[in-house]
Amino acid sequence: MGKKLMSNLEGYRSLWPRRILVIFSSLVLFFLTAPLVILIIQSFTNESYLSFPPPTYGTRWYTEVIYSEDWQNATFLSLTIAIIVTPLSLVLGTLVAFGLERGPKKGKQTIQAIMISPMVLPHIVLGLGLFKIALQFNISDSLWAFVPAHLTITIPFVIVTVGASLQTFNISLEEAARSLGASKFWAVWYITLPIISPGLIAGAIFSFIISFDEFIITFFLATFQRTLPLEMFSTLMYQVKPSIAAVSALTLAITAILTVVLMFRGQVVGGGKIIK
Amino acid sequence: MSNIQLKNLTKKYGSFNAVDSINLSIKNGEFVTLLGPSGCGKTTTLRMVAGFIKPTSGDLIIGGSNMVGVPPQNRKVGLVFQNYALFPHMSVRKNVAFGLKMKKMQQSLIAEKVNKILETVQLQELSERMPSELSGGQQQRVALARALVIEPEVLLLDEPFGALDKNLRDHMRIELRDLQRKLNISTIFVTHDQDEALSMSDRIVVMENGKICQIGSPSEIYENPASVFVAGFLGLSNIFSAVCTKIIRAKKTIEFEGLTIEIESEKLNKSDKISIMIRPENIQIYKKKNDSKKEDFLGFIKSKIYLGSTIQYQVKIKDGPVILINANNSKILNYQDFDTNEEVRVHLSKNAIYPII
Amino acid sequence: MEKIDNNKISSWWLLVPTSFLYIITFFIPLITLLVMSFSRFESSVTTVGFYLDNYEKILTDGITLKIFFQTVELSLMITLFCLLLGYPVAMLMRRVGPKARLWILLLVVSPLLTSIIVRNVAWVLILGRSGMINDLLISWGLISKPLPLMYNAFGVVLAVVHVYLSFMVLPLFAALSSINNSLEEAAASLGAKPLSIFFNVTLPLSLPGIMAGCTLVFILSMGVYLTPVIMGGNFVVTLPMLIEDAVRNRYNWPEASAMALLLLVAIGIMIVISSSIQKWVKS
Ligand SMILES: Nc1ncnc2c1ncn2[C@@H]1O[C@H](COP(=O)(O)OP(=O)(O)OP(=O)(O)O)[C@@H](O)[C@H]1O
Ligand SMILES: [Mg+2]
Repeated sequence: MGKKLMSNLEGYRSLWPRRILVIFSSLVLFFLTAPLVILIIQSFTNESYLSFPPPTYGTRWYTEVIYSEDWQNATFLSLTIAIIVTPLSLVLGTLVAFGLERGPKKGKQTIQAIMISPMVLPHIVLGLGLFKIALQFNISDSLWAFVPAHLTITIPFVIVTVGASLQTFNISLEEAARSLGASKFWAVWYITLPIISPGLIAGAIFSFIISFDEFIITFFLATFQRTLPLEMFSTLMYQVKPSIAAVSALTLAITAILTVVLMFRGQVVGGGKIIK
Repeated sequence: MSNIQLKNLTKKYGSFNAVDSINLSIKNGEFVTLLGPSGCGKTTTLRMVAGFIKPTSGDLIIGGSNMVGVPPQNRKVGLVFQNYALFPHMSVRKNVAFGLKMKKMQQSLIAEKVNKILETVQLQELSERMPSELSGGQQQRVALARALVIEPEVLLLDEPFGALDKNLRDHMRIELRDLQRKLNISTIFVTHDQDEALSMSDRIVVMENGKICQIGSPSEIYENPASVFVAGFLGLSNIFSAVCTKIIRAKKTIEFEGLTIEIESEKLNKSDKISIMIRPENIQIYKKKNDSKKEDFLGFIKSKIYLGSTIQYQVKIKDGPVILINANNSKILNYQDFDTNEEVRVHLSKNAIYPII
Repeated sequence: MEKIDNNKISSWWLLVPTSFLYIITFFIPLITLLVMSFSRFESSVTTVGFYLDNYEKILTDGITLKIFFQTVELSLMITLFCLLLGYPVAMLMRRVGPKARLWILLLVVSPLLTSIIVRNVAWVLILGRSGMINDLLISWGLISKPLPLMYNAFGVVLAVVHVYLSFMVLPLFAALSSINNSLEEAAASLGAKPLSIFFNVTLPLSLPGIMAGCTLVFILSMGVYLTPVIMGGNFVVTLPMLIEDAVRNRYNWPEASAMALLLLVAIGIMIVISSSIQKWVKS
């Protein structure tokens, strides 16, 4: 009896599913990551066409992209928007997360659902509506349109990430700071914010990447201006050249570097080594 | 260092009274303990004093000025939480220095004060550690140092030893009380551990359902409980309902559970229905064969629990109740050991019986 | 009932700036679309009013509705593939140690950190007529003409699954990891075979995660524009593409608005279905 039980448990734990599961999951993970690796490899081709594996390697297309005025302008615009959007979205979203967490429990769920609802609205619909409004205000094709539009889709992510870390934050830490003479603002500044920094950093990363990557809404709002995704799209529609692979690899690098930097800072702050 | 007065302090949640019109006055340097079962409103009271909960009505006076409406940071109140609430991203030193930094004190002065308090709580060597690298007792001391370094007028502690093991708890008890005496700081201490309350307090406030049942010194509360609830909450006790059947001046005869006994009490009237409390340590038992006195009761040992310094017996009295008895287990007094089911004699002296009127 | 604490309600002031932004960038645009969808569009002139012309047109012209159902079908297919690929990964994440779990998690979310357009470009380079796969197969002599891997539903589904798989794995993993191991072990100790444990214990208990993941992926897929354009050429048409065409090429705002609302209604129905399934499962 006992033996049978043991063997059954063993069987459940290890034998059948494990191997199949590992093999299948490895294939899925390969499916997820391989295209990006292949893209990066192809971007280093020295030929005037794309192929895999490239016959010769070099940084020819990177040079071309970096010195191209079109790509420079597009990158500059995308970075400008993302750099304005990220801190704004972080501040606004964090305020909302605090308001929801510290406010009355009654009605919290409903209000939270409303505040993050732009998340489930298809961007095509939002873009359509925003385009109409922007035309009305005569601000389409400018930062005045791009920034609020991007904020609308990035803020919900900040609300979710910061909200999640606020939920696990022990409020008595803030109260301890208050009893030690800190006003509400300084208690949040010195105690709460450093402790929830992983949530803040995740929110910032999401905001930056979503803004940097946004296509369809900007596509509606822009007439002459081109963000990086727009420029990539129009190039791609015209011809698949190695330059597109190089640009893709570069944007991948930008987001990856940013993510690593922010995460590293987060870890340092979270580990308590940095206190300002 | 300042006296505290709670006047009709009340906190309602909807129609529920979490704290119900509490009146309490605490003298300079006094150590007062709030004691009571879970949910009786201890934490709520403490948090009203600290300023985290706004009272529904009533006044709170610290050092002569009314504190209702004053935000926590301006109350000069030091607070120690059950879970310590140490800032996890700051070293021990930074934790302790936080309050002084908030006062915008000079850097050199901060260092001096922090060093001094760390020395007081014996944490100098650990000052650069992070809270996660400390033991429970050490964390507790950091929390204490952090609350005390700002020289508050009032120290508030909410079950500060809840997370410590028994030995450490006993040790910290003594340390905290010494420190509190040395600094002569008015203290409100919340606990539901009766040993802690009895051993540390100048006065104990027993609470139930948001109300105060009794205020008094530990011995008053233990020996002269004002109600059955207080008697039952503090220490072990035998509690019976009794009726007064006969009065001859101060000598009153009472009956309970089929037993009749004579006690001395001023207040009792004939036919009064009262409760009586008998502490288990105030009852003596003897071997049956020893020369028996008339007023002793006969009974037998129902059960026996060995507790180290004492032995706890349950004795069924013949034609009477089952009664709890703590017998001293000292080898140098003439202690006696009894076996289960052994017949014994039970001696209930007049002074052992405390009527709760 | 607990009365709302005045102390706490003041926290809601913190929502004001974002609410203000949302009114301008979210609520007013949506209301505008709603109003527009009932307007009339005649010889390039829009008349505001209460007309059902646009709805009548998209429901009866035979094309819009067909494309709408195509979009739904495509989204369901994407959702199904995401579930089939994502579930085993989520299960493995639950079974392995914390370190391996972190690595898998990192791999799963890493695509989220790269732009959708970059990921689509990667697939173009792999699946295109002269992409990596056709190149390799031809150079090995296995085929003589390039295989049509792109510019069809296959390419679109593949690329969208790649983009949204992470959104499936995360809720699945959350649901699976909240299942108590001992339930499955108890079933095993009663002599249940692994497959029947999976179908009788694990799968039903992870249903909330499955519903959450499927709803999310379905909603995202319904609105997808970029990937069908890049990977489908003009051979796979979705409702968002029709919307874009109506506005950018025909300036027919009322019709575009009506199609946008059709999309929203479909999403609304999906949310209602999934939440009622979840309620039904709970009871
Ligand atoms: N925010 C609140 N809303 C409603 N009721 C509350 C709230 N906070 C506390 N209470 C109620 O008030 C009563 C007193 O709570 P309090 O925390 O003061 O108890 P306590 O004496 O500290 O108990 P414990 O020993 O368990 O810590 C409890 O019945 C509790 O349920
Ligand atoms: Mg409490």
